[in-house]
Amino acid sequence: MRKLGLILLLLAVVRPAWSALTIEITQGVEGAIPIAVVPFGWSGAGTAAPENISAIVSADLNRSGRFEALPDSDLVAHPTEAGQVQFQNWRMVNVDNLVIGKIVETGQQYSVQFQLFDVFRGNQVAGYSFNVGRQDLRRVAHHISDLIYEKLTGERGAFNTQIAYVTTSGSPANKTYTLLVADSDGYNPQTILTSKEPLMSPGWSPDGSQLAYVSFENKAAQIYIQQLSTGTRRKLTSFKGINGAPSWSPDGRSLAVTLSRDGNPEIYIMDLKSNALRRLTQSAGIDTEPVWAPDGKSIVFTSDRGGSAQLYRVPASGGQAQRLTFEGNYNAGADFSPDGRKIAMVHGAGGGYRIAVLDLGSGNLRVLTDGRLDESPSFSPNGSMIIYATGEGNREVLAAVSVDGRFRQRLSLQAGNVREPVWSPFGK
Amino acid sequence: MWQAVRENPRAVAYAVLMHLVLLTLLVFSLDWTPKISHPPGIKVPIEAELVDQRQLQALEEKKLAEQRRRDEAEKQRLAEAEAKAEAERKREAEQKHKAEAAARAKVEAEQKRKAEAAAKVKAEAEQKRKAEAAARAEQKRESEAKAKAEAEQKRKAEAAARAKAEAERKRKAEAAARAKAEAEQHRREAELQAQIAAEQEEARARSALSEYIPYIQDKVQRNWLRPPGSAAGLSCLIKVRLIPGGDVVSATVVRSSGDPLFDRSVETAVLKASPLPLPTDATLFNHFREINFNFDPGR
Amino acid sequence: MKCNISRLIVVVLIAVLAGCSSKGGTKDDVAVEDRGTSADGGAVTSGAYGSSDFSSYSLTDPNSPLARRVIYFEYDSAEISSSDQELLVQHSGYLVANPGQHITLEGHTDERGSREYNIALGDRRAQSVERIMELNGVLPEQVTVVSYGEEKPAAEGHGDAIWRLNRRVEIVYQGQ
Repeated sequence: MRKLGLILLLLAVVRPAWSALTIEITQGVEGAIPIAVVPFGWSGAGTAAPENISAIVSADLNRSGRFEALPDSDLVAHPTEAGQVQFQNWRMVNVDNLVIGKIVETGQQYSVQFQLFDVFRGNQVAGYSFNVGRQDLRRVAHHISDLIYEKLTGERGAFNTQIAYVTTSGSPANKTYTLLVADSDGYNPQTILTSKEPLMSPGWSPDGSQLAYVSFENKAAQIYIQQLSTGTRRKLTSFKGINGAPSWSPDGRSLAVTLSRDGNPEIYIMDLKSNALRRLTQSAGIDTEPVWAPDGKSIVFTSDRGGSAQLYRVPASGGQAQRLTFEGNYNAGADFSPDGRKIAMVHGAGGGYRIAVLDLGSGNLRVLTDGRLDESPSFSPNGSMIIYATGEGNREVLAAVSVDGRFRQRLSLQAGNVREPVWSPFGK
Repeated sequence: MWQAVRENPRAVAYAVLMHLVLLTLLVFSLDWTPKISHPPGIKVPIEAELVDQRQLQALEEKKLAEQRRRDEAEKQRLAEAEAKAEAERKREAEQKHKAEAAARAKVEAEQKRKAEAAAKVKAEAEQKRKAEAAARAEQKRESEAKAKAEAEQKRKAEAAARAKAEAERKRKAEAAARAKAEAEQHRREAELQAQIAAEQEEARARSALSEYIPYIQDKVQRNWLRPPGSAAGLSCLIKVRLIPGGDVVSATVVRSSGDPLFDRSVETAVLKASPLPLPTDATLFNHFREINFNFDPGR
Repeated sequence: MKCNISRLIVVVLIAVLAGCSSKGGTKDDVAVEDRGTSADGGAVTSGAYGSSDFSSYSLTDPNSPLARRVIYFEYDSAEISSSDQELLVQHSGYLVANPGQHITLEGHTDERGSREYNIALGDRRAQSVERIMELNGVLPEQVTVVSYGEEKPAAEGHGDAIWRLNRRVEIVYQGQ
């Protein structure tokens, strides 16, 4: 190409009009998009708005791993309206995009508006305004994050979603187990159930209206389904032995569960209308932790039929199970990516347990975390992030990692031990 | 035949004579004696002598033999005569032939002589004619040659005149051409000088390019945030206009990658890389006024 | 087969012990210290703990063999050591003698690995214990098996020392 350029140059020598030089660019850099989110202007009672919307947006964008928000201390100016923006200032600090906004209180409502700018092109990319009550201010902030994310990455944002998780608190002899649902950034936790006996394995229904979980409140493992809006629940299975690992089918009509009623733990599929049971696995050992593929055609589960805990895949209609994992001496706790192409799992190798992602197409396994006891991976509904449980000191906490492994962040939640996070579907 | 007889009387006479002789001989050689034939009833007086049957037989046989001998001799004689006659005839025929042949030959020879004579005459006549013709031709040639020579002279004279005129024209044209060539020469020299100057400039530009292209590439690459989700194999060509100093005043996508996010990242990259590093020699700016960037990571 | 041999050994041992103790004469003349009598536990006659009469064992006496109610396991294993099997024989004996007595076998694991898989592992351990007890005559109706996986550790914290304490099956006597 360069030769062509020189040839063009030679031609240019002969003719008085100069023609263009062509330069090849064969690589770039990979990394987060630098963005500046300026604190929103506030017009209302008090010195600040009830929620710091720009801070929520910055945290969301940072947590996704795709953006790097300029720290507040590095902001060169604080415009709140388009007319106040001087692009040269922002070019100097090398941010590609700028977000400014305003909140205006009017009685019980808040008018929230924001604008997203392309700094180097010097134009507006998006601008919206909303009218919400106080209790929805955080939701609007997450919605703004979604809009910015989609405009700049082309992918759907998952900031306006929720997570369900279990906490334990109290002394070892007097523990309290709580099942909660919170915003995906850990804020606004709502208690779903409290118990003195263990609570485990929460699972979202595909429409996000219900949670299935395992409760030992009756001194044995039993599966319940609870409506989140009303709190009403029903006991789904209470067979002798294990009742565990409930997983909703993508069409919401069945639940895959683990039962040991026939002697050892096997996978069963239960019709939620008729309660009819269909056994899916047959092995002398352990078969548990079923998870449906997004197309509903197969189920991945954990089995030790090969001598150690590994992941297997079986058609949902029944048949031969095929082994999926061949690296490491322990692979369990699978979760499917929303596009059905990847599986996150707890991967044990060399003494530690980490979150790894298996690409089903290529068979490549990639370890994303470096804790010693990481567990319970769950994909975000846009497939870009994985939330999981990890240890920090003596505490159990939640963390999120981008699917390419490049960005990891701890979620700051309440005190106590937090475990078993599950990300809600979209629209919650 | 009668002409032949008349023309060759002697030959004919001899022939007739021969024939007569032969005829005579023939006649005399024949036995005209009639044989006595005794009628059966009449007994021939025999000299009676008692003869032995055997003797009689012998006699009979003798007689027979004699007769036979005689017959044979006769036959022989006849044959001989015949043969002779034949021979004669042959001889005669031959002679005739010979004579005829001779006569023919004569005739032929005569004819030949005549023909030769005629031919001779003809030839002589022919020669005469030829000579006359030659003489005439010669005359003609001479007169023609003369005419030719005259014409030639005329032509030469004309040609000479033309040549003169031509030469004159040539001289004029050459003079003009020379003048033109000189002017051309001047122009070419000027052009050459310009070319040299341009080549020098080009050389400077080339070295500047080879020095600065890597800097430009590096700065743009450092500022290009590749969208992580984009497909492999995308490429985008963008045209960038600069002002002296390297500031980018316009960036337009010339060939889109098909992915708007990729295109936008490319635009942002060149805008962020502004001002591009350019050589300090402002005279080389024209080579960098407009730059196309082909973003083609390949993978 | 292991069970039979160990059973035999145990029987022999008990016989030997029985022989030893009965040398002492009357019940009151036991070599073993009697610490058992306290306000709540006196119902069972404190006797010779070495006797083969399991029904006489105390569930509340901390010296009683039945006082030990936890079986420990190696990592990712449900195998029961021979000494633990002896213990199980004793518990089994008591249960056989007290068919109205119900127990719950609680299976547990250490914290490593995924939670539901650990539920299954704890269940496997508890079932191993149940099997041995049933082989020793305990009726299935007397036993309930529950697995808590890693959800109810005996010791909090990390590391081998802690984990070893959590890989266990606990025998819980109903009514105790």
